[in-house]
Parts: sequence; structure tokens; C-alpha cells
Amino acid sequence: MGVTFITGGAGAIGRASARALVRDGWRVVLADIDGDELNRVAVDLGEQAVAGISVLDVTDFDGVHSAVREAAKANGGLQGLVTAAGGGRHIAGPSKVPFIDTAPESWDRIIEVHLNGVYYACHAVLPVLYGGGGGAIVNIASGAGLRGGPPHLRQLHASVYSAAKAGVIALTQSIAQEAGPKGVRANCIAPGRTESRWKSWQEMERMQREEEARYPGSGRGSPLGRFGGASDMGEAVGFLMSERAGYITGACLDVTGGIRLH
Amino acid sequence: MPTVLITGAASLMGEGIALSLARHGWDLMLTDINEEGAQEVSGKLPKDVRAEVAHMDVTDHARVGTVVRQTVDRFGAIDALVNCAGGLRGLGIKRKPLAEIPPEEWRRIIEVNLKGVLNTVHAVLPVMKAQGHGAIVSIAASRGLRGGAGASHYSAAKAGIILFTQTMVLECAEYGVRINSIVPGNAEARWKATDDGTTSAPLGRPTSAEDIGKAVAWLISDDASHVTGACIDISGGTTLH
Repeated sequence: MGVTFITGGAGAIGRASARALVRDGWRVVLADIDGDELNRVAVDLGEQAVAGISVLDVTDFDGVHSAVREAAKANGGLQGLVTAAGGGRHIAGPSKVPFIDTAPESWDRIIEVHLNGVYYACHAVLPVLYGGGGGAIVNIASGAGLRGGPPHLRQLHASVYSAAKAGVIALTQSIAQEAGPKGVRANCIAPGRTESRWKSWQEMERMQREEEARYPGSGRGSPLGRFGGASDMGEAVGFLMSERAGYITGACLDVTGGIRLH
Repeated sequence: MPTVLITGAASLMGEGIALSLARHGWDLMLTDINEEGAQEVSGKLPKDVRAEVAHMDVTDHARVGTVVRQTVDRFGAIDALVNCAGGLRGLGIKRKPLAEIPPEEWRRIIEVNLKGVLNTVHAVLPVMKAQGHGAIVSIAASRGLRGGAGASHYSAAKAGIILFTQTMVLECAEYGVRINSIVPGNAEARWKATDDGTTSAPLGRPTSAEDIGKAVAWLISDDASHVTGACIDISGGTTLH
């Protein structure tokens, strides 16, 4: 336990992770590109729980480094990192058109936010964890990074997003091998279709009906009969960050509700 | 004769692929950032094989488009694309733990290995769509399946290729195109010291360029006409270690 730096801390998965971690006794430094929402989340979590907030664009390498440096200085180090920045908003455009009709510039943004941004955060936080004798990292990957394509028709036109998220899984496996001897565990979770600030359950149900109409058979949901709640992801993050997962590193926990089996 | 466009053709693996496809009756467009090296590979082909060489940096989207158009002009079609350009140490970049990788090196590895594949597929797929047929094979790596210490950027990029390939299956199928990936492990390369007899592969030897060439030849042939979205491990079992 200690202080965890959370990117995307104002997003649904980031704040659910913060909530689970705070309940387990962690304090959190929240970083997000949306300053107003960040303040609301901080107020919601309470003064005791919040060890700092930082308005941050995860694609800004120097910005990530200075935010992490400040957080470490203010708290005498850091013990954890959760990289929850990302999300579908950034892929809303390219995901709706065939790959051959996408512009190369759109790929850069997806790779920068979803893959390079995770590297920037890990690059900044790992030396701090090493300096403190260890810690834990949980990166938020995606079911789209575990398996791409049919019958995951939703990802039909989100090829680069899948590639970036697969990259997150492989980089997490690499960190696990490098950082294990220094007392740092690194894991990731792969959420499936999950509620977010931009996507309610009603919205997800509508998307599923549309897909089923376009590609019969694709609208099958999770065997558990519902979509993912943000708290489902938060609990998974909380577990992997905790000592209950003390012998787990390099893992990618599937939190798709079994939808990946379809 | 069908035509194949090969990237990274100057590499040892590129050479193995070129030799194998030449034996199987393919016309070859050999491309590489190292044009001289690609010329040398061309010189090793049997005399009756039709082959041309073009300078191509896979990170240069405009140049990739130009070479693709040239290939169609010269050969009349592109029946197969083989993405072999990539690497880590072969690009002159040393292995490092993630915390020590400078951002320029990180971006360079992602650019060449992952974005290079996006660039070529993006440029070639419209040609194949117009033809109504085609086959694509991309060389990923066993590191893309399980990550590797000192190679987080390379592992991430190669994992990206595997998943990109899977997601492209349906779109490619609409155009009559198949798309697959290969994961070599412990493969021979020009920049590596010649085999010193040590290998962790259960099959007891490094993966040769010929091993990869044979697999590519099969994947782009009609014998593999019902194979798409596959990721074939050709590492002699190294991936399991």
C-alpha cells in the first residue's frame, strides 16, 4: 500500500480504480486531460484519499515526467501506477470506416494515446518505484488487444486500436520480466464493452442492436448477460495492485465477461 | 506469373523469402531502405526469375504509395505482399529495459515495425481490392506473443502486427484477400554472429531464413486458400520458453 499514480483518473475506469484502491487503503494521485472532471472526482474521493491531482496529456512525454516527478516529491515516492488514459472517444472516427479509407494521421493519434502514452507513464514511474524498493503497475489494455476481428465485429474497423492495445499487453509482459527482480509487478486488464462517461448502458445496448442488424450473430453479448460496469474494472485493478496478487506478474486479466469466447 | 512485393528484402530473412518465392514461380518486387542490399539479393536469384528492386522506406507513406504504383505499372498486378521490414538490433538499436529507452528509440521501433506494416497494407489493399484477390503475410515475432526483457518496444510493435492482422480479416475477406502473420523466434540474421551452436529452441537449431521462406510460400499459395487471420509460430519451439 502507498500512493498510486493514475492516468485517466477522471475517466470511468480510472475513477473506479481510484475508488477501489482508496477503499483498500491506498492514496491516489489523479492525472487527466480534463481538469474540471478531475476536480469533481477528487472532491468525490475526499481529501484524505487524494495525494495530488494533475492536469495531464499522456501524449506529452515531458509533461508526464514532470507530473510524476512532482507527485513523487510531494509524497516521498510512489508505490503504484495505473494507466487508465485512453478510451473510445479517440477512435470514434477511424473505427467507423474501413482501414483502407482511414488517414495515416489518424493512426498516429491512436498509437500515441493508447500505446506510447503507456510507455511514457511507465518510463517515468518505474525509476521511482525502483528507488522505493518496489511497487505495482496495472495497465488498462482491452479485449480488443487479446483477439482482434470476427466475431468481434465491433472492432472490424478499429484495427489500429487493437494493435495498440495488443502492444500494451506485450509491453506489460516485457516490464514484468525486467522489473520483477527489482520488486515491481506489472499486469494488465482487458476490459470488454464497458460503461464510460461517454457511453451509457442504453447506448451500448443500441450499438449491439445495430451490429446484430448489420452482421447477424454479432450482437451476442457476454455469457453473463450484461455489459461491463466501471466498478468491475476497478475491482480487477484493485486486486492486481494488492498483495493478494503478490505472485501475479505479466498477466493480462480478461474482464470481458466472457464475451471474448464468442 | 503472379507478383509479390517484399519489404525488407535486403535482410537475410528477406533473402530467404525471395529465394523461396522465386522457386515457386513468383515475380518479385524487392524493396528495402538498403537498395544496394536488395540488389545483392536480386543477384542471387536464378537467372530466369523476373525481379526488380526499389528503394523503399516503409515509414514513408508517400514513398510506399509510389513504389506500389510502380509495381503495378511494371508487373500489372500485386498478388501478394510480404512485410519483412523491421527489427530491433538490426536497426542499430540496442536492447534496453523500458525505463532506459529514450522516446526517440521507442517511436522509431514502433514506426518501422508497426506503422511500416500499416503503411504497406494501406497502400496495397486498394490494389488487391480492385483485382478481387490477394494475400498478405506479415513477419511479426515470438516476442509479440509473450514480450521480452530489453525489448518492450519491439514486443509491443510485433504484438500489434499480430492483432492488426486478425482485425483485418473481415475487411480483407470482403475484397477477396487473405491476411496472416508469422512469428519467427531465435531467427538467423546478417548482423548476428554465425551460429555458435547454442540455441534454446527445442528443435536444437536457430530459425533459418529458409524456414520462414517456405512458410511464406505456403501462406500466399492456393494451398492455404482457407487460411486467414492465422499467426503461425515458426520458432522451433522457442516461443514456449
